[in-house]
Amino acid sequence: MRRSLLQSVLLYACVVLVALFTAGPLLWLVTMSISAPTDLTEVPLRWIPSEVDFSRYQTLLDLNDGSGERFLSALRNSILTAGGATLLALLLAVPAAYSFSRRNASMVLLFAFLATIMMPPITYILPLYSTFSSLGMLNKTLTLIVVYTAMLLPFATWLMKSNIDVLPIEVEQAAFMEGASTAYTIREVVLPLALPAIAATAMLSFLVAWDEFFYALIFTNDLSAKTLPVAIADFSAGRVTDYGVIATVGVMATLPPAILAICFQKFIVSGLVAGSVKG
Amino acid sequence: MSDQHILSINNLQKLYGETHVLKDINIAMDKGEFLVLVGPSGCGKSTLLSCISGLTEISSGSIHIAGKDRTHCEPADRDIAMVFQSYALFPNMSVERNIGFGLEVRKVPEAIRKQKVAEVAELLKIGHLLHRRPAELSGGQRQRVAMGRALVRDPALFLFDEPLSNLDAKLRVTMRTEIKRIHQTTGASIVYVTHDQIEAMTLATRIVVLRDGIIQQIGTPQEIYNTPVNAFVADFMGSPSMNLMRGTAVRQDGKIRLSIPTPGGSVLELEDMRTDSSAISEEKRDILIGLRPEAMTDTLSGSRDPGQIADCILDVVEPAGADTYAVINLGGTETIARLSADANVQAGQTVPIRFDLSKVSYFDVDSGARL
Repeated sequence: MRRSLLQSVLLYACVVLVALFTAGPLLWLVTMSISAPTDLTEVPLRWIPSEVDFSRYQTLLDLNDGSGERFLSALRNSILTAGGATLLALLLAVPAAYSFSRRNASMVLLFAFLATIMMPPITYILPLYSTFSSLGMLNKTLTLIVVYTAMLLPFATWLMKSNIDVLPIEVEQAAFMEGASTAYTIREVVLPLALPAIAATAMLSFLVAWDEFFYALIFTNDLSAKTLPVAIADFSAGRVTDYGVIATVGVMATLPPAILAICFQKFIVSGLVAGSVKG
Repeated sequence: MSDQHILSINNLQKLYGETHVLKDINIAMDKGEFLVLVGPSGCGKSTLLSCISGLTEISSGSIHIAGKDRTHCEPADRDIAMVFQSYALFPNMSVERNIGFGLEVRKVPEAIRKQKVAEVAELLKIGHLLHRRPAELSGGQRQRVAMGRALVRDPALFLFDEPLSNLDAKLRVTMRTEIKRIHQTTGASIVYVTHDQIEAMTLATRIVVLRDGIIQQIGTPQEIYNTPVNAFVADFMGSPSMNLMRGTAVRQDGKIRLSIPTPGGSVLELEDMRTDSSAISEEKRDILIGLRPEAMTDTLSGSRDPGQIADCILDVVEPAGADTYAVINLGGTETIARLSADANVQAGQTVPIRFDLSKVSYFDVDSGARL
């Protein structure tokens, strides 16, 4: 189909608009992080930095620097918390999803699970805080892992269930017919087929845990457990707010999930089921 | 009671809620038999196979396999293997691992496993494909792998669920022969589900015809073909199917006189001298007269039986290579006559047709039951 010139112009204008809308904030974040401090406070705003300044990155990656220490411990805590919670949630969600999908586990239960994430977190904060407080578990990475796992589990189970639902059931039946146990079938047959779904679920779960702010804010109070979102907030709460530093931390904080997404991308492809059933 | 049978099913019932899917199924199958379950879609044949496999729990009755009560056993503990309609291969494993999966699960030592897989692959002519993935195989090759997976364990009973329905017509014929060959060489006991009555006729040692969850008839292909128990079986088995003409019959002097109305208003009169005439009384009654297309031929066909010849109008003529099929309106239905390929006939012609009543079937008009 051939487009007229006007149609082409309109089409590309829309494309540029969408691209700017989605990539704009990120670009501005990167620009801020390498601008000179004076550029950021100028009125009117300087869109193109007068000089390129990477010194903030250097500071943040230096353990001996105050901000560097804050950032790097937060990064470590975030990776441990989000990674641990994702791993734990997946370990529990996959068998749970299989039961819901193939073994007629009650759907009421699944909806009850889902109902728990529909409640605003504020309702859980008080009881959770007093419980963890009495157990002496406040300000610990493990505490956040437990809370995040509980938060991720319903969502991960539901996502995995809908993905297992569409796998060809005959393949599992064939495995049972050949004498395989349920555990063996899940490990050798279902998991390889569900790999793209698992990768997608892991990715999304990790992002949710990575970005979580509220629980982390309440349950942690120093370098030993604070995660990145809380650390970023801390950077802006000092006497003088350095927007450049906040932007730099923001850019650095997006890197781990971005790297993870690139690594998982090759798994998140369809067509792994090809060849199992029909022609 | 079921010691001598490889499979015996007694009073099996299956209900899905209120729906009665299988009603009082009784089957006794000997070792080495090739039992084909056939019927139109929705007749319950696949459900029955699923019940035998243990993938579906039955509502009542019992299933014995190789002399042991397996009614409530898990599929894995029934000493059976199944070939699925969709092949159901494991896409993440090589052909070799697919075939050897059952042995791997049963912890058979690798050396023995490799040897058995190689033997089966040899039998199925897929030895050169062992290191490929299912996605890299054609439909027919996948079908062979699925059969290999079943064959390698040497179970008491094989279940085939419409294994050829995903193949193209030509390949289907090849694989049909292949399955028959495997049955002959291995002497395996096979239960085979199909909706294709040609497959049923060619493969089976015995056929079970199902309809609406009820067994209509169990018999050898010849019995099913020549003496169907009711009009449904007569119509379902055979291609083209048996002609079921409405007419009247009366017993006279030890033979049966048949009258079949033609659209022109005249009546086609035939005499049946062989059928035991006690089936038809001396009182004239309406019946369905079942004649296979090959019992209605042209006078050129070299039949030993001179038969009875009557003039008929051909409505449609369909040359099919080896034969020419002619549609004739008889007894209120379109009947098909099988003429020789050389019969030089045109639609609309009036042609003498030879009726061979040696294998005629009579059915009740209302119940369809064989008389």
